[in-house]
Amino acid sequence: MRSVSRCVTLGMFSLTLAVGVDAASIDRWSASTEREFLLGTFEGTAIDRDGRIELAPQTTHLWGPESGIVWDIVPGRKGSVFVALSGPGQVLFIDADGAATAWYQADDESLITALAPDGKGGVYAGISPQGRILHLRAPGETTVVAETGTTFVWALKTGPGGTLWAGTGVPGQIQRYRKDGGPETLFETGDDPVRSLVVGTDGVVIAGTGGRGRVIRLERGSPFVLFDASEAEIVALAREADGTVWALAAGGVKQPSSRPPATQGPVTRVRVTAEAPPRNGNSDNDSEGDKKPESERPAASFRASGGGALYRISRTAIDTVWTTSDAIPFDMTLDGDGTILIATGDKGQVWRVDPSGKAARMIPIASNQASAITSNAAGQIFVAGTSDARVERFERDRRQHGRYLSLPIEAGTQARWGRVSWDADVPEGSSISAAVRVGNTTEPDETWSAWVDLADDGQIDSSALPASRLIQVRLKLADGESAGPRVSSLQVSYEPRNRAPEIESLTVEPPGVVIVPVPAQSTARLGPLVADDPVTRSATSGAPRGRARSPVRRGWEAGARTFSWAADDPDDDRLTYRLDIRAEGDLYWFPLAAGLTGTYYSWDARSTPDGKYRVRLTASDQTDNPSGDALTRAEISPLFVVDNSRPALTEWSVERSGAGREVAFTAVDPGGSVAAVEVAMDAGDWLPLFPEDGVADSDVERYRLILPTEGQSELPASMRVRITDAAGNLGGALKQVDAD
Amino acid sequence: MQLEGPVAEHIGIANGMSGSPVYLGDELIGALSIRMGALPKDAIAGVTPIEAMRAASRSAAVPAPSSGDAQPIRTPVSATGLHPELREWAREQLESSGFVWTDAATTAGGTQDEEAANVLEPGSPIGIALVRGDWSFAATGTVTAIEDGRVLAFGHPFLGTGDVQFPMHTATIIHALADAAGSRMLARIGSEVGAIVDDRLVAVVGRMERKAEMIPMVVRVHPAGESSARETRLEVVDTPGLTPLLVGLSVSNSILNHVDREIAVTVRASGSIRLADHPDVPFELAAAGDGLVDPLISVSSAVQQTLGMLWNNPFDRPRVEGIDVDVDLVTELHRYFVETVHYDRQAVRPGDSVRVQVALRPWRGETVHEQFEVRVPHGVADGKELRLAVGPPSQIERALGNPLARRLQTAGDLPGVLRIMGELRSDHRLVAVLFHEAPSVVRDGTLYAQLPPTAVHLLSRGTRTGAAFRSRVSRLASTQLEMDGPISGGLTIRVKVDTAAPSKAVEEHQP
Repeated sequence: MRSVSRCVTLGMFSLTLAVGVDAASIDRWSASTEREFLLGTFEGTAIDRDGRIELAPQTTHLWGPESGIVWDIVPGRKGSVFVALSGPGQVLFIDADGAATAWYQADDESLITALAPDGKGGVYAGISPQGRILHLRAPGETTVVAETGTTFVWALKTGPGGTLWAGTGVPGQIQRYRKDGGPETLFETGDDPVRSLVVGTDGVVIAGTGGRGRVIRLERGSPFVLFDASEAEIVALAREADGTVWALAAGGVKQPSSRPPATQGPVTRVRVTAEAPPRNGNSDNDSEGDKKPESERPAASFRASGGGALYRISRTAIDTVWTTSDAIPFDMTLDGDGTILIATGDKGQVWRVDPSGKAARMIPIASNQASAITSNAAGQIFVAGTSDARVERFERDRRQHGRYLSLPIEAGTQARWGRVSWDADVPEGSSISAAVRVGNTTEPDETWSAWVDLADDGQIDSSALPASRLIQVRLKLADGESAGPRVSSLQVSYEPRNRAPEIESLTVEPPGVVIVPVPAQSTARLGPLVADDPVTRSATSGAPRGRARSPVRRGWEAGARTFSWAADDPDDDRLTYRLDIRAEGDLYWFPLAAGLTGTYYSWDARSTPDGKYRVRLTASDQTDNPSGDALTRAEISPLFVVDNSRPALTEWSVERSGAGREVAFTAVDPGGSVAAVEVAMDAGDWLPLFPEDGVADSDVERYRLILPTEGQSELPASMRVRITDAAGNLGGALKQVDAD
Repeated sequence: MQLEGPVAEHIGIANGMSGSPVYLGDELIGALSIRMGALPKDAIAGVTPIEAMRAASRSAAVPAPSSGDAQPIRTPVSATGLHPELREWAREQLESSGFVWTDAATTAGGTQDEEAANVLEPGSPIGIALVRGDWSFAATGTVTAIEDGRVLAFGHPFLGTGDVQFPMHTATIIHALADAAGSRMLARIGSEVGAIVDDRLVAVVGRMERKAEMIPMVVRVHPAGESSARETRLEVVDTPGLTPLLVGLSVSNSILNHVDREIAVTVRASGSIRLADHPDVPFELAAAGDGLVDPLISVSSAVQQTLGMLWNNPFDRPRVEGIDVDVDLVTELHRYFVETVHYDRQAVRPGDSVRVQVALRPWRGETVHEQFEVRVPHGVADGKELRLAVGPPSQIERALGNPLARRLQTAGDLPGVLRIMGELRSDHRLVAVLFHEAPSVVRDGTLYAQLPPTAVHLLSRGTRTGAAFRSRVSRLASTQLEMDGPISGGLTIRVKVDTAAPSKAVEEHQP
């Protein structure tokens, strides 16, 4: 056997690799566990006990699909089976070639809920809810064996001497019908229906109940509870020659009981299988509104919402051999090699569980519910499905060919698809080949590309794959001489096409505002824990990088101009920024700063001529993309003013006004606008002064004030004037005001 | 087409004109059938081509369109002998179906001149009898043409139900009533001359000399204190759109024949629908009220609702051979409300009978006490808590998750529908049901109770009718008794199962 690790390289991408693509931009999808593989589609393939994809057993479609429920299936002679079908109730005989004959057909909505071969080519059938047992010897040759006095006949078994055993409910009873005697009720379980039965050659009867999940042994008429499961229902039982009992339990909340179980052995958990992902939605048909009566409100107790377990009950211990949280166990049968085959819903899955607890998912049947399973003396396995009703025969041989389709792999954006690789055991003569198809819809449909086989050397014509954001991989498995291939992992690598950065805002801060970084904390000075190289960047690629922010502090500094911005990259690429500036009316942008990694820039504008300007911010993701693929996004700021000129005082005048003085002056700021004027008399405090038009907002503002003498001991001798412009520049003057 | 002349200017397009022949020269080109707008000022009408009417048997069996600017001219209907208490309700029901109610008499007969003119010919009125007997009910239109014994009329559907059997009568226009809200022809029905056999998109088609089969109906009213019943015989047409309503009106109208005005009444009725090729379908109802209008409208509605299940079933239309109704009539008000429910011990043992005492508050007077026994089945688990619901069937049905309604909803064939109809009970019964939390499923018209979880799962899928309903409870036992009037309200109490409980009552248990 060869153990191979194969990869197939798509041509276009290998070319990219040749020119040194930054490894950090490559994403990978992989599947290597049962749970991950189950997201794909199995066509003639299955999952083995070690979670690998393998060729599924050969199956032969015998009968169906028809509408209805298959409650039970039992073997007949010569590879035939009897099927209990309901909706309407029928007992079908299906021969080895799949030809079906109705041996019994109900004329109402009766359910055929249980079957048992009579050992002579006929079959017993339980009719519900009439609680009737029929003996079908041939088509149309029907006799009533018993009216059980109950509603449902859930289980029928024949025992030594042709004795017929019935499990009923409700009321739950174990009934015996001997050829030489009348009906006997050997044990009653009350409102706990007897859902399953197994009868040993030693006359020991094991019963499983359908409400409280109990396994009861009935030996010489004495009942004994062997096991009280945490599940509500024991759907199937099997007993080995050494007395070991296998009990298959289905979930749900158990019926309440005030009495403790008679006995319960120690429970050990042997193995818990991987859980499949939660299903989307619920196919329940309940029509549940807000104001339903109590009888209609959701109740976990009657929702077989998934979950169950297989228990092994021996004389010394009770082992949990297998559990499931999503499948609904319906039935089981012992295979000749010591394994147990379990039929489940809602995905029509059949499991093969070995005594150690290793479980393999065999090929699912086409029906949603694998509702019954049986095997015959020849070792043939028959699985029956419900909605649609069908019967499939599982053969001993593997299929010659099978396929596995990955789920549609989403790159998130248009991608260049790279490598398809897998790890597999490929025995001599067997083979695995791959193909891909691509598309842009979540589910593959007719808009997807055709399948493109990947050549042995992995190279394909790149033009065969159109631009797309989803890819699906198909593996073809071909059987070998002695064994088939087994795939333990599947990978696809791809490079999502780069997307441009996005600038969310660009702010021109008020004149004089500066933003400075705050010194890093001591712990940060230790340096990065991982090196900043392509490998570690790839490993940490999930961390958001575009929005990384260092702590900053805002301050004020004369002549400073500051721009701040918020930007992001949809691919989480690291961004660098460039700032260019242009005077209003100019044609050309002049570089102001480049290679910025922060999201602000403070600039000393005192050397810049006064005027109106705009800056252009350009964000680039070139750090994380090859030069040809890097993308930029630019944003232009609102107009702002650079004003380095000091405001000045002109047209000063002092005139006598009665006993006082009237002072008038003009404040001018050629490059900007006057923002405030304050005056102080002699050594007094600064007082604000308002212009004649009431608002200081233009480059020329006229001021006038009266210095009264009334109430003053004397006029002030001087007045200081301080003018502030919008850019924060100061100007002013000291003037005499007492002179005539 | 615009109508001209003094009559047209006076009444415009009148309801009842449908079918009026339209000629081009001497050539018949069609029938007046469509009116334009809601309240048109001009007498503008649409015409159904005569070729289409001649091929009516091949056209669709659909009702007249009910929206749009151009709509079929509406069909006047009128009743004779219908008590005033029922007229307004009947009018609302019929006008919501697109008919125009007129208060003209419908019965046959009239003056000698009228009788002499009582023949069908192009342009003459035509009557369709829908109820005959104790009261009568008919619709009128206009004959477009008579060709080889085939009468073409209306130019649009009457009910649009395809193959029909309606008695075809002559009719006489008494008056053309001009009305801004819709002019209409007031007509009197004459003698039966044949049968309407086709009711289709472009015409109704009658056959002269043919006899329509109607449903014979007998209503026997048993007034309290009288030894003999008062019998009323009627004939009702068999058609899904109208029969349930007309039978309901007939029952109520028959009751009204035997009571005085403005008194309280209590009605309990049981009936049977006799079907060809199927078992009879029983039905029952109860109503009571202070006054006549409300209880008798309740009777009509109940009959209409029950019979509607049969006539509107999606599977088949059985031939109805007759309808018999027996009515127990009391001119007093008997109505009850379930006030309290007691049972005779704190806990019960499986197999024991629970004695249930029910206090019923009547409309007036002293509280009535009733009691009955419900047996707890063997096998119910020790410690289990059961529920006991007491009330009329409608309340019990709700407490159990509406199993009958859901069985009806999921029934897969007509026998299933008939079987479920036969199980419907009226609210004069006081029912006690013992139930417990155990899942049940209704599918394909059948209730499956006390199921294991996997059986619930399977039964919820793969249905023939595409629907399955689940309930968290299952019925264990039930019993009932009859009261002399309808019951409302209902109570549910808890019943504890204890195998060690004493077998006799120890004290009363309050709900």
